[in-house]
Amino acid sequence: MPKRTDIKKIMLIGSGPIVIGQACEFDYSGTQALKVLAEEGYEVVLVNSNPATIMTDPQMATRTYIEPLTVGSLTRIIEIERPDALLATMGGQTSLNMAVELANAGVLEKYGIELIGCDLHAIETGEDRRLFAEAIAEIGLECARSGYAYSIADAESLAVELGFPVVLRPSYTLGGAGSGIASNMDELREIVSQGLTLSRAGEVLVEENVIGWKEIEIEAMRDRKGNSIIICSIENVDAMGVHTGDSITVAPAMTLTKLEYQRITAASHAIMKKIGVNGSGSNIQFAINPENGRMIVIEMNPRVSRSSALASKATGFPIAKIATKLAVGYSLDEIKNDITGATFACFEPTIDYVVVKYPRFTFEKFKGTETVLGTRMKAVGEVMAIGRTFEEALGKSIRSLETGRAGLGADGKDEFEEESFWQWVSLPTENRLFYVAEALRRGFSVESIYQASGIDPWFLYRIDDIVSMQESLRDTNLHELGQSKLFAAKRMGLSDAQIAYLTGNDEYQVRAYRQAQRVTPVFKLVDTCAAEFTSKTNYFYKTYEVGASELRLGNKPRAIILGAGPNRIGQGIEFDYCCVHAAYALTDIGYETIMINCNPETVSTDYDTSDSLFFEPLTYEDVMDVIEVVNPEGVLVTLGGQTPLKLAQSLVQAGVPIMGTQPDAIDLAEDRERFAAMMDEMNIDYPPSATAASVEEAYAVAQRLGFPLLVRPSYVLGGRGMVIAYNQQYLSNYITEAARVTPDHPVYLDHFLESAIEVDVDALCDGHRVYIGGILEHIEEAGIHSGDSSCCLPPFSLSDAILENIADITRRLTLAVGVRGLVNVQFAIKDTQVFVLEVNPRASRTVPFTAKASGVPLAKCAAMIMAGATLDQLGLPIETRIPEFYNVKEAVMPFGRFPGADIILGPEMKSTGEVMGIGQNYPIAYAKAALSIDYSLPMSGVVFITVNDKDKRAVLALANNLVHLGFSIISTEGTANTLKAAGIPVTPVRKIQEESPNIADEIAAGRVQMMINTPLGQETRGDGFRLRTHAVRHGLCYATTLAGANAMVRAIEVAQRDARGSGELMPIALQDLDQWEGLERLNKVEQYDQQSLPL
Amino acid sequence: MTDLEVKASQSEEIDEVVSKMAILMLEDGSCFVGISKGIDGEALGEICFNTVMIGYPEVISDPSNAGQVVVITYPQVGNYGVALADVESEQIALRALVAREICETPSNYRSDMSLPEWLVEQGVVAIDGIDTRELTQLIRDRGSLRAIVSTIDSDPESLLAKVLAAPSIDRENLVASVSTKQPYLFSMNEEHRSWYQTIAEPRYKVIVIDLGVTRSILNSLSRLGAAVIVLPWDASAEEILAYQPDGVVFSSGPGDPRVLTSTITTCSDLLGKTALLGIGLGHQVMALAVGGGIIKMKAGHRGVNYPVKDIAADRVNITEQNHGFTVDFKSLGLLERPRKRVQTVANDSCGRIQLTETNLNDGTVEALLYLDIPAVSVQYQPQISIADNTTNAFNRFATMMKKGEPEDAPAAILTGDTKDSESENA
Repeated sequence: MPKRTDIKKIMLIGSGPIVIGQACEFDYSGTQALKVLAEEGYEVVLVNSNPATIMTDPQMATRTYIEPLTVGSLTRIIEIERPDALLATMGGQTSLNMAVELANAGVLEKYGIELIGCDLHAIETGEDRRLFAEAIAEIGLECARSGYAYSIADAESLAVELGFPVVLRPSYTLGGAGSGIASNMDELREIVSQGLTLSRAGEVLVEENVIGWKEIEIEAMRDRKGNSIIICSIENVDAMGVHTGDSITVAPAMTLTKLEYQRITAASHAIMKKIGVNGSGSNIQFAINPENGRMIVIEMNPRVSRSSALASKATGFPIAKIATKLAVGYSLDEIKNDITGATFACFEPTIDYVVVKYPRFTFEKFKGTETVLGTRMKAVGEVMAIGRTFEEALGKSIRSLETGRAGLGADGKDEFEEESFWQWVSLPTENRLFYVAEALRRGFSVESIYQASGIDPWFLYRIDDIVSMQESLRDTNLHELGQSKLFAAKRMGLSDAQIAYLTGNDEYQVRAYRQAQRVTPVFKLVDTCAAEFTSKTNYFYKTYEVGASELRLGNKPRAIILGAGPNRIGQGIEFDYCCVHAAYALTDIGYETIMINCNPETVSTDYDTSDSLFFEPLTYEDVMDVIEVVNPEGVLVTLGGQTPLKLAQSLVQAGVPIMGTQPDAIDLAEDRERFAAMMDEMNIDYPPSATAASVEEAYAVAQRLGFPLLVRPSYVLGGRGMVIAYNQQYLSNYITEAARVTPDHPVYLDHFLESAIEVDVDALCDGHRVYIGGILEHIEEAGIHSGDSSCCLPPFSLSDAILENIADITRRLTLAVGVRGLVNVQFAIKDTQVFVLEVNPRASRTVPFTAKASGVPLAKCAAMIMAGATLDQLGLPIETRIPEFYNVKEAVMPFGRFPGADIILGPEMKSTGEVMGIGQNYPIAYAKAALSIDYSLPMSGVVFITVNDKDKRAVLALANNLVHLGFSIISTEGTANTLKAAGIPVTPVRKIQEESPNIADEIAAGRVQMMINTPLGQETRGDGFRLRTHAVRHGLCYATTLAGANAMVRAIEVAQRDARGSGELMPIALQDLDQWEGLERLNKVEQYDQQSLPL
Repeated sequence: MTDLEVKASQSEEIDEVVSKMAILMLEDGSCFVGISKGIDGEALGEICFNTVMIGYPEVISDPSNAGQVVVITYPQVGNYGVALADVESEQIALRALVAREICETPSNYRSDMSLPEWLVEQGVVAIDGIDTRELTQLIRDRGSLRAIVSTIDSDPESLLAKVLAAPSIDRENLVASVSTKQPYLFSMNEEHRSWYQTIAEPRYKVIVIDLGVTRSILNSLSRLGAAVIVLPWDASAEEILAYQPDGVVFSSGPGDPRVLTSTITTCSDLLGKTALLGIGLGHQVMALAVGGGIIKMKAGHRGVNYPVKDIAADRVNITEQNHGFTVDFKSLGLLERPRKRVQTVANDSCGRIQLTETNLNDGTVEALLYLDIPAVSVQYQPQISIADNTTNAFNRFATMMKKGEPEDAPAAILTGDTKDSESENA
């Protein structure tokens, strides 16, 4: 069955912004799909609202639309492009949902578009709980047994049938409210009676309890002929009850007998056939009762997923790529396995190593939210580690996380809550495994920990082995360890840092001793076949083995690119984008590129992004181990965000050549004293600031600088723990409680420029000249983390004089710092005065957005500059050209996932992703960006306004606009009085803490469509907090800054006009914008003179 | 020698535990040092690797591995212990087991004992702590080699001398060592009976010639609706026919089929007289019985992920395999109408033989259908399939046996074999 020739043009829908549960794995799958479709000669129309993706690079598709993923917007694109087919299995649930909505709206039928890769019926059966359970029953399998109760009596009889304990879930309640587990009739009656009241449908699902069962996932594929293959089995270390995205998982499954495994794989084949997967990948989840082996089907997803990205990286089998080929008509037996180059894709990968995936959380950003893990995913990212044993891979995975841990405990960072110790062993939280290890260390039995945690004894035995190894090293003399002991420790996955802690040395001493003892790692290949066939792909992992390395290196000069590690808030896909661009650029100009990264979701860890891929943690030890065998010309540290930057200094000290901006320049920009001195010398303004090492010093500084103050601890980066203090009281609370200031850990205090406009500049510098890539004007005022505020390129409210001033300062500073590559400068414009906030001599979060908006691939250019190219050689377009369109970037917040955490924006970043809108003017661009975010902009209805005293005057114009747009306004007393006085019609409403009916009831009843609530300073746990939390729970459209609210209202105005036929929101393809074509020409330059490398 | 000592000392996992050293020596002088995980002693055999990830007890107890030193490529072996109900034969036939790490603290509700306990109980020499990936590459590149694993001799010179002095297993009759001595009636064990939900009354009488038969084959035949009588490898055609069987199965087993002269003769005598099914070694025996030839493969096929193409149905099934020899299709007769997609040869003794399935990757013979006599044979380990897949070897065999009884689909879906069913999507 060769590829289809009856279709020519295929539409692909991406997954939109990075949100929890849908991260850059869909950039990986989408990018693979686009490559395949281009190779096969199809025209591709791509729609995705996320500019920070490789897939939305204009050369990846025939037509690229960075537009909202809504039926309206997609229909318009379909009208313009008239695709023959729609591939919706590459963009996660978002893409699948859009396909269903387009079909239901009759759009697919109207334009004769065929859904390829998956059919509607399959999607429906996969998602509808009842349909799925029926289908599963028809093929002789079981789902968790359940039934719906409409009365307590119903529930009682169901419980008798199912047997206690039962899980009770009221239907249609938000955030799983009213759910619970009942172990007896009394508990059942209590939970059900409450649940029936809570449920709008008066309905409670009574389900058998499978919490604590083994959770197994299968990644499989099935083609149109009916060939179906299992790619990978994944076993969850955390038992049923924890979302698989939040679970530590292992591939392949470890604790199943062949008989059990055969039953699972047979069921997988049968389910794919029954549901109708004909030309796609699929993920199927099972629960196994560890006491008797009973098997339950949990769910299946007929599309590529986070797990399939993991399975692809774990086995080397590129699921998304193959799935795309299947979607266009190929069968599995026609596709070559490109890892071996010799065998076919129609086989089941077998591996000779163990893979551990470990989730990454950022609960510290969302104070007040529940940190116990459950069935709703909360992880913001993940890492993967490969080792020859589970023990080795587990150790690697923990140090990959960049949570400051060097392994599973024994690193001097262990802190345990003694009074509730056993509770933390049993409850699933991000730190549970450390408690488990400690419990074993304290001599608790595997059996007792298994009973408490539900973690299979096999994993506990392995952890016990790790702990025993740790304890055998504790307080020993490093230099008496000897080769065999050290080798054994490394084989158990212990890091040099752990061994250093246990033996009372530092990591460097351990490394030196280890090397003297000839205990060095080897590099083995990931080859899909356990070495049965030779493999030509350079995908490596590090391990401690007796045998030899399989490393193969070419003759070209080598460049190592250090990746960005796990996604977390503040460090996301944007940096992976930059690393991938560097790999492409350096390969083009003749380097052998080597990627080191540990994030399985990314494009950078696709084995064909670089010449060699090392799937390793980004720690000094692991990176140095690679560097020592690869012997690179240079290492790129400024593209992967903070992760590689943190390593720069120690790499230099080890004599490693760094390409591009040197660590000393980075240090100059980051050392506040050195930097301030430099700016003073250059007559550049910056907000007055000082350091305080005690509470008294802080008061003195406050006195001198005046409130408000921007306060931050010295030892964290990325805005962690940063606050704005408006008064002495707040400052003293913060300093004594939150920051715990000591002479070793001083706090920084900056005078905060209230109501200033913040500006970001992304620029390139070759050491001689500076190229301004883009100037971005923030919409929210200064004080909101730049990652969380929306911004516009080009600026919409700044004068030419100010812009010239900004550009001039950027040039002078960049040259003075000594940047070679990318630089990001942040400014605050107070009245007309330009202040420099900071200079980051590295790739910034806004680089992909700026590149998309300007048409200049900044990250690629930066890599070339780092390799020795000059800006003159690159021949970039002039900087002062006025873009034809306005481009708005808006941040996407994860608050819906963290009930209980406040949603106000501040100096600490909280967003997970971003969207982009492109339009003829700023409001249109903003409207498109707003429509790209999950919540919909209301077109009419009621707006609830309550603002702080500072904003009372400014809110009048806004309220007036809303009234003109046809909205009615409700307000609490203070704001209502202001509006009334200005003659704006307003209905008063009671505050949330006042008696019912109050604003909370209005929101709950769905009578409010939008909320504008501006808090003052860091008020916490007050009315405002409760109000905002309530609004998030009900999915309300909201703004917490007046600037944001104004932008939103102007966007509503645009959307209203567009709905009346103005056509303002017409989609725009990137290919129709100015794109700089120069790189084509540059790529043909064979190679730069190595002498000019700035080493 | 110092290198060896270095390797040895590296392999001692924890100082306090006194681990017993073991050495693996190959005939090319490659030497690997590890830890003993079985009995004390030494064992000589031909080294091969198996890429199974889940299913080590089945591989270790498969009589087809008689004479072999088996390397498991998956690094952590023994994780779920050993469920005795699942073992393929009562006595482990492989010579020695080689692994990266053998687990002493397994976990599974079905486990009866740990893998090291089982190996000791069965008297098997085993070694772990080996870089099995490097070893596998060596075997892949150099082909089958003679090897010795010893826990009692640590002198490499002496070990190498022993390996070089050992006869090639090719000339050994390994089948005789694993085949049953007495005829017996097979009965599925209780655990598997409940697992497979097998309740159907037998409809066929099947004789299995035990060349190293596995429990899986016997279970499959039972589930097919057969009363299974197992006879020794050297049973004569008269003895077999005296049972008045509906069909005869030549089972899988170890080694070179060419040494099985009496079995080959028996098979010749049975051609056309009853329905025949050959599996693995039995498939090769049938090819020899009709005058065909056998080729020794460089590294063999040993694992659970081999794609096999059913040429007529245009479908691929992923199969389990364990063989080091393969049938030379061209040796079976003259090719008829060579342009046809499905190739057929004319054989002097049994008429037309069709090549119905081949290995997707290397094109080796995977299944033969004898068009003019009731006989079918497969190189891989066939799995029972539900109802309507007529190209499945077991189903073809069942069709060839006497018909007339009411259709009583033997396998429920939970038994694990729903995979290669109908091809309505083709």
